[in-house]
Amino acid sequence: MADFTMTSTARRRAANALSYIVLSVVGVSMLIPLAWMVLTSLKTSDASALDLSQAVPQTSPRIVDSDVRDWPRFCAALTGREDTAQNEARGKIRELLPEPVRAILDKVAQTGSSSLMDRAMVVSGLNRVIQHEQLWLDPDMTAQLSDATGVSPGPSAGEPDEAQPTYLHRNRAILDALFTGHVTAAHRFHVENYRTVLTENKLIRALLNSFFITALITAGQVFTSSLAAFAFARLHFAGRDRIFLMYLGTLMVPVAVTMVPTFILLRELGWIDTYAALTIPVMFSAYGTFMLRQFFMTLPASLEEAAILDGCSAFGVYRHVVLPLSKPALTALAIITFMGSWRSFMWPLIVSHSEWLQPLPVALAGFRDLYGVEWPLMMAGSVIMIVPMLVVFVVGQRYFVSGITVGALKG
Amino acid sequence: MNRHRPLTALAFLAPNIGGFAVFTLIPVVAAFALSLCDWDLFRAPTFVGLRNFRDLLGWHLDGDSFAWNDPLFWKYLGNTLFIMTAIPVTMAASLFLALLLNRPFRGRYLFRTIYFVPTICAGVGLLLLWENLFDAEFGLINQTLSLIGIDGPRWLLDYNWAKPALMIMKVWGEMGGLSMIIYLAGLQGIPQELYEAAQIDGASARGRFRHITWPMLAPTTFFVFITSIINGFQTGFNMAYVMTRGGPAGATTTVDYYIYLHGFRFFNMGYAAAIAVVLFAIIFTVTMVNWRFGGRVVSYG
Repeated sequence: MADFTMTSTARRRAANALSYIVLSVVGVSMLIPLAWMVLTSLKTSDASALDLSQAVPQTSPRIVDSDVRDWPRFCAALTGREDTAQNEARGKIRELLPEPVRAILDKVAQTGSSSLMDRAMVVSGLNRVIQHEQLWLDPDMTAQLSDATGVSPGPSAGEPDEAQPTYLHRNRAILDALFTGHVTAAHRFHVENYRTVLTENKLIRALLNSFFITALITAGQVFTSSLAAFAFARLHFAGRDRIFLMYLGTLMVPVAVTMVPTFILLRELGWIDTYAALTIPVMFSAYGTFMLRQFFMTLPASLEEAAILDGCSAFGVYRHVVLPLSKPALTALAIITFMGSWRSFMWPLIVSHSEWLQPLPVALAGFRDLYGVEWPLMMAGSVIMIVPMLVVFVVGQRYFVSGITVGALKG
Repeated sequence: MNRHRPLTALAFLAPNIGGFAVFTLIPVVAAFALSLCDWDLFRAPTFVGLRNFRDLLGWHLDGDSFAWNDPLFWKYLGNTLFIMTAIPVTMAASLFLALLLNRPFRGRYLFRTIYFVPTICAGVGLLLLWENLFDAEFGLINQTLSLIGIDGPRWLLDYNWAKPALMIMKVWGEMGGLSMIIYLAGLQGIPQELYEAAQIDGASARGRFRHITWPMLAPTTFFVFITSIINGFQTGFNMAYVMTRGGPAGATTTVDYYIYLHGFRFFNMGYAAAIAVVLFAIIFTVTMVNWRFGGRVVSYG
């Protein structure tokens, strides 16, 4: 291969292709875990739903309570009171159900009302039949089913084979045909999990808390930081730059150092377990001041001087000259602050003990302690926490990247 | 230039510096004072001098053998340093990705955005996702490994694998994040003429990287390294609290989490403050040493 040479164009093309491949592999490896999270959040809450061979939830043929649109009608259908083409096949299922479940079917069909217990019994009975009993439907019946419902029976419904009877759960299409009109297709993707975590697990309260707390912190930080940054960038007073450097130096102090004394301080103030403790201590940021100062320094002095000649006060310059010109920087700081406080965990955990004021991350961590193995519900909670950050990022991406590189470029 | 009256400046500074003084400056001073006390929050604090530091950093002879007074602290400091060995890996990956992205080609902004997604998603939600991925039976990682015939470890439940698992998570989460963006900005700051001159001189791609890119990026590398080290000493609380509770057998307890345990689980406020002060001292020293020697290493050679 010693005399093997490539032209420079060919070599460049090969290098380009290789770098595309590498970039794509890395990109996919970043997205797969997130896709896994979303898929898991859409599954029913049982362990088998986490099987990789069933990574996409629609292959799990089970019926859950919330899939059924109208319980009395559903039960009536299963008792054979409806005269349809599906009845013969449903009759077969009915025969396989245990006697108590059949009694419940009759009762619900007659009285028109069902208790939680009734529904649980019917669901578990039906699922047992679907999963474990052998059910053989002859081709005539399959054809009738597909005529009546418009659902194609699928490939496995062909020739009946006595030696290999068709398990109902192997044939999704027939199962669908049987329950068409009664069972929603929603059980394929179990969006229900989101409703469950938001209402039954009270994450809706935590979500609202998060929005409220984050909005307060963001507004507070942008306001106090912009005032201080204006002073450091635009006003002239003795020791200005020395004070600024000292202020900046405090960025090096670990949060862990101030955590214990601040907690004790808030305890003395009686603020523990209040919104005040969750917001006020984190409204003052040296980083935000630094970032805005760097931006304010770049503004031309001429505008400011003109404003002063027109009789503007220092506050007037801040309000009417500097702030309107600094919208990109202010937006960048607002986005960065939003991200930081939305995901902030340690401080809220320490100062909020009541469920009613906990923000989302704290509530999620507590939720995990209670329901650790309920992955679909946990992942639904995680998605709920992550989506607002992604939305803010997508909307404000332009400002965000310019904001975070401020320190690095000058430093 | 016109001088402003000090009162005007004070009015602008007051909200921020005032709040900062109350919630950061005073607590820092208080932390030092508290580290000299014994306080369980219920009875009045008592002054104990340097006893907390002796209990934390000191040693004694146990019979003939040497023993730390608080062996757990040293173990957890070791854990913290162990997890920090992911920093060079992350930085190398960040630089590599930045180099690949630093050429004009279709889709580079899309890739840059995708790489940044884990940084955006960071937080408790992502930690829970990784706990799921690392699940010994149902996790994506072990199921994928089993497809190619590997019986994966029990990751977060295994004493030896828990720390590497967290490091994998950190590299995944951080390689496309801030350090990559900062490297990209650094790369864009290198004058193009240097490369053109090198090309005329017939320098190979590797030569151009070694003699132009790497030295020109030295300040960037230095900045990223220092900030990563400072952050590295302070991470671990969220991971430990949410995913492992510091286990198994303390394998994932970091200094950060140890402070929390003493402060808010055992209510040893003084001892927690003492650990925090030691952590502060470590970070301060490392940063100073870095600036001192980093200044010499960094050059535009």
